[in-house]
Amino acid sequence: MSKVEINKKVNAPIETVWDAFTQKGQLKQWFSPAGMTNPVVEVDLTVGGKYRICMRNDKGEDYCAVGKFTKIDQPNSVEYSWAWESNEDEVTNVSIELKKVDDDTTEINFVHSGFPTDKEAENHNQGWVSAFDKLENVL
Amino acid sequence: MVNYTPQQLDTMFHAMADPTRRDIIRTLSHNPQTIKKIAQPYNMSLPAISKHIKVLEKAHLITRQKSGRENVLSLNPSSIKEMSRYLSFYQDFWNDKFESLEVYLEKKKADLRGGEKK
Repeated sequence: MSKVEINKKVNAPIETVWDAFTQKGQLKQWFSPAGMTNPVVEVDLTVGGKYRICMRNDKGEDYCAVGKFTKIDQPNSVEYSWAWESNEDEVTNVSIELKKVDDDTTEINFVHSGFPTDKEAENHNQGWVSAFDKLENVL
Repeated sequence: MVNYTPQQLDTMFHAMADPTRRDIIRTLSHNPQTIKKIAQPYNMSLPAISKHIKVLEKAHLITRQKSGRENVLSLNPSSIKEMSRYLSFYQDFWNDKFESLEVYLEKKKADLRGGEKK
C-alpha cells in the first residue's frame, strides 16, 4: 500500500460537503468518534494555517492529528499536511477534491499520501513495498 | 498480538527508512546470519555496519544471539507484521470517517426537510 484513495459520491450540495471538511462546528459533528464529551477541533482555514483534531480511543487515550493547510480553493479543493502530535516528524499529505455533480450530489476524491512507502519508492528502485511483499511470503 | 506505541512504530519506520538497513532485513528474511557475513557485501567498516544493526535492534526488528564467539542476527517477525498492519490502519481509519460523514450529511438533510415542514 502506498496511499489511501477514496472516491465517493454523496447526496449533499458541494458547499455543505466543503463545510463538513473545513469548518470547526461541522467537523466536530462527524470527525471525532461518538461519545466524546469534548473533542478538540481547532481549524485556521488559511494557507499556512494550522489545525488540530483530537480523537479518543476506547481506552480513553487521546490521539491528536495536526498539520497545516497547503492549498485552499473553496469549495473545490483543500490540501493539508497530516501528522500525529506524538510523532510530528512523520508528515503525510491529505488532498480532498470536490466536484459538483448536480445541486444535491457531490463527488469526493480523497487521497492520503506521502507514507514512508511512497518516499522510499521514489528514492530507491527497490522500495520497501516490494521488500514487504517478499517478507510477507516468508513470515 | 503485541501492542506497539506510536513512538515504537516511529522507531521502526525510521529504522526501515535506509537502504542498507532494508537490505539487511531482506537478507535476514531468508536466514539468520552472523554479523560478519552480513557485513561482507558492503563497502563499509564493521563499526559502520554495527551502527545500522544497533538501529534495527533498537527498533526490535531484529534480535541478536550469541553462538560461540559469533553474534547471530535474526528477524523479529512480530515487529515486521506490526509495521505492515500499521500501513493498512489508514485505509480503515478513513473508510470509517467517510461512513461517519455520510451519516452526518443524511442527518443534516433530514433536519433541513424537517425545518421546511415547520
